Amino acid sequence: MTLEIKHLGKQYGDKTVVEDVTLTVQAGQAFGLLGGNGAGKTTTIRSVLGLLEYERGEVLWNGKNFLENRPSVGYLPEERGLYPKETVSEQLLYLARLEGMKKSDAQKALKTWLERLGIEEHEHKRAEQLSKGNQQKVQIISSLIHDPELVILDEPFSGLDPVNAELLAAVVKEQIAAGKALVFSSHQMMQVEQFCEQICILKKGRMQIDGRLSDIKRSYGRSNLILRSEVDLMPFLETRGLSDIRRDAQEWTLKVKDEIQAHQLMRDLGQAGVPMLKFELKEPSLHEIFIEKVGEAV
Amino acid sequence: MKTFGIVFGYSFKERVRSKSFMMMTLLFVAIIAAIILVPKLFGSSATAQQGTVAVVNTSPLPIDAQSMSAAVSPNYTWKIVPESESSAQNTLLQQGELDAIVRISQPAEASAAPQIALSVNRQEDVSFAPGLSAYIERLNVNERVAELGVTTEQAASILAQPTFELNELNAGGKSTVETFMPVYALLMLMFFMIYLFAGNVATSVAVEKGSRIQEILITKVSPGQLLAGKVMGVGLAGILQFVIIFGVGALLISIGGDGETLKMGSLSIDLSILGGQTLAVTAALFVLGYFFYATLFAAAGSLVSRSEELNQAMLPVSLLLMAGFFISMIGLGDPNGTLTVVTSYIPFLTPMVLLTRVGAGDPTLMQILIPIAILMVSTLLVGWLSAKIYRGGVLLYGQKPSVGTMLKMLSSTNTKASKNTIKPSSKGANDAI
Repeated sequence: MTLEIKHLGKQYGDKTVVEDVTLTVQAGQAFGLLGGNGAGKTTTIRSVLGLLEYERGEVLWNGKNFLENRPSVGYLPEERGLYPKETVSEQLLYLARLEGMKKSDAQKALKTWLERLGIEEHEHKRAEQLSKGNQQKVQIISSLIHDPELVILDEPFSGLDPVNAELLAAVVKEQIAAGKALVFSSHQMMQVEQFCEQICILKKGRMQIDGRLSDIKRSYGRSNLILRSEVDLMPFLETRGLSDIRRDAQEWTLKVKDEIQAHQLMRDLGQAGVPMLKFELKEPSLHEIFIEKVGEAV
Repeated sequence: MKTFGIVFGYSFKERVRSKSFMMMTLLFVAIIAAIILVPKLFGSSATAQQGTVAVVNTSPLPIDAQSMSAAVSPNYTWKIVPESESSAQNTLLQQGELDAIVRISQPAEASAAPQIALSVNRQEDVSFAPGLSAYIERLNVNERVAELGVTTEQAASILAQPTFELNELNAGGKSTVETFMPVYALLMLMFFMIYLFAGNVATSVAVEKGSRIQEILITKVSPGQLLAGKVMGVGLAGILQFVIIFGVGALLISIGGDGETLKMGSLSIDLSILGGQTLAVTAALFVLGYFFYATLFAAAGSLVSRSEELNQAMLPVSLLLMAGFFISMIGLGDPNGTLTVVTSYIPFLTPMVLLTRVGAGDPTLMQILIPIAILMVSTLLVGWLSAKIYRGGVLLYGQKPSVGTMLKMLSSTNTKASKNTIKPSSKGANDAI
């Protein structure tokens, strides 16, 4: 099961909002579709799902036209929606049955999901009676209840407290492990780093960077050095002309030009007899890459 | 097709379970029951015994209370009083305890006809005056003929009354007095049912759009199927309600039988005069009228971003429906007039105006079938256009509903393979990014 987007282009009148977006999402893999506000993430997703007409390119599922060969899709839109006056169970069963589930299967799945997300006591409440976080959980269930082959989650973590974010993270990992193809759009880089093997960063509708997250990071080189010591390292570091030093408690994070410079520093520290607790050379975080690629617009 | 069925079932269930459905049904059933049952339960009180009339007879004519009641009016208690009490009756009349005093006297000249003097407080109390005059005249002739000493046969031939038979051919128009209230009641029912049910479709569309669940729905169902399922589901609920209301009405009429009917002023509300033809046309017009307006309202509903804006978007469509209602009300006075006939062919007016024509007027079969055929074709056309607007409108946020927006929707074409695909105009684009 593979979702392929090839050279997708979308215009609104004279304005190009998505241009030449090409990406591939494999089953059992999460794809991080990243970008600032207005970068074209939602437009790309809507074009894939056939909610918007696009002018250029094509979208394929297992090599065939996506809409003619449509898989079952679990979609969590960025703008969340529920029937405010309907009960949780009524609307979830309705949405599940629209995806072709039998009523009895839908009821079974509903029960499992309500328990999984810890909202079984709200089953017969109207959506408008639930807190925002619980409404969000109902929406997440609506996108997963029918066991879809392709899962598209647009900003799934927004509005969740840390406990529920952790719960959702576990659910997302299960979905990936269950072999779903998962597209994940988010501003929260921590979550993206947690799940996504493949990413793409959009800016003004164009891809700034794409590929395996590990490859991308490697291409940036290991330029983040983290040091930990019980003594103050600042005088030592300053004399070596290092810049961009950040100090949190007993840790110092700094930029090095390359690994050679880092190794030289380690030797110098050893020779100087500075008692070191930690010496770690790291790739840049996705957050840093994102900031660099997307720039001020975030 | 399967998803259509699910949307259809869901919309039907949602509507039937709603409070407004229950309340509307109960209210209309109660009104119908009141119209049919009240006069039957209180039967005679509604029409009989309007008061007492004192009769002072100084002529030789044989007048008694029983014959007055039988021959002049059964609605009054007739009281024969001697002449000596005549002035006392005047006081009773002034006090309102009597409705009228009839004085019948014989003039001095023997050959002259008897004189009738009628004293009343208000002229409208004496609807029996012509009957009274005719009855006294007949008694007088009887007396005179008897005095002539003719044979029984001769007397019988002189006194023979012309036979009178009323043949209502319905060629020259139905009786407005008979048809006004029943047709008026039907028009009201039709107007409210179409407005409420078609309006419900608009609300449902606007709620789905306003709550943004629309975006999930149309990844599962094509907008066309969603619209059709919704319109038909709510429509079936409407038909069910119509059937319940009419079923209860028919049941009550069949149990209660014909007879007394409720009157408002001089107009009788006798629902049993609505024949099979009128009811069949009413049913057809309700179904077509509902679909015509429901799809239009759905298109209007799809253009708003929030349900608060719905009334504004619905207004133009509501005005069309109201125009039909008002023209049909005017038409009740002249159901065969030019205005009524011509407007019954205009599709958005047909559901209301044709009802007036059929209920109160005398259209030919063709004059019924052609407007219905025009309405059918227009309903399909309007349904198709509304589906286009709906398709374009459901994902478009942040724009005021306007004629311009609608025209843009109508001019959009689906070139991609998807029937779900929509194409918003550039103006609303930013919201979708």
